[in-house]
Amino acid sequence: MASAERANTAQRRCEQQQPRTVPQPVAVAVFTVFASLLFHFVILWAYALITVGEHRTISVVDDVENKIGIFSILVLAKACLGDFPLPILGIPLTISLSGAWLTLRELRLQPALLGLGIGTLSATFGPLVVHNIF
Amino acid sequence: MASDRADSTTCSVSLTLFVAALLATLISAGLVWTALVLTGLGCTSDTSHLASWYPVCKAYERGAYLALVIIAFGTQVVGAAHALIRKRAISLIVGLTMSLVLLAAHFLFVPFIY
Repeated sequence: MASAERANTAQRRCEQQQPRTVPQPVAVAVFTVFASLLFHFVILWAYALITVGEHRTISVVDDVENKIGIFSILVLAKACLGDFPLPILGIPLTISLSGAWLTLRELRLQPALLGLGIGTLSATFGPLVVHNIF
Repeated sequence: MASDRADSTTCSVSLTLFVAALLATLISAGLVWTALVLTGLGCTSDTSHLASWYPVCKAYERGAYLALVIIAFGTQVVGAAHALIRKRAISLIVGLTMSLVLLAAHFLFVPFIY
C-alpha cells in the first residue's frame, strides 16, 4: 500500500517536471500577430521621426470633411506621425490635409539663437477654411 | 531518438521555444528600429550636410531603408516561424544571425548603391 502510494507520488512528480508546452496553432498565431504588430511599429515609428528634405509643401483644401473612413485614419496618422509612409509608398499627400491644418494651429516662430534657427520657411496654401464655432 | 520523434509529432511547442521566438523577434525589431532612428537623427542633425552623411541621407530620403526593415526583420520572422512549426531552435538562431548580418551589410553597402 505504502509502496503504491510512493510510486504514485513519484509519478506525479515526474509529470510535474515535464516541460510546459503551448499548443502549436496557438503559438504560431500569437507569434504571427506579435511579429506583424512589431513590423508596423518599426515602420511607422521609425520613419515618423525622420523628415529629410529641405522643402516641404503644406497644402490646405476645403474638402477635408468629405474624406472619411480610411482617409480619416491616414489624415490622423499624418497629423501624428508626419509624412511617412505616404510619399514613399506613392500615395499623394493631398489626403493629409487635416494634419496640415492641425500643424498650422501649432505653428510657432521663434527667433534664431546663435544661428541655429530655421533659415527658410516655405509653405504653399490653397483656400483656407474658417471653421465657425458658433 | 524515439522520444524525439514522438515529441516532434505532438501538436505542441515547448514554452521555452515559444518565448525564445518572441524574444528574438523583439530583439530584431529593436535593432532595426534603433538603426533606423539613429540614421534618421543623423540625417536631421546639424551634421547632415557633411559629405560622409550625404549618401546615407540620400538613400534614406529615397526610402532605401524600407528594404532593410523588410529583409532583416522578415528573415528573423521566417526563421522564428520555421522554428515554431518544425520545433527546431536552430532555425531561430540561424534566423537571428542572418538578420544581424543583413542589417550590418545593408547599412554598409546601401549608401554606395543609391
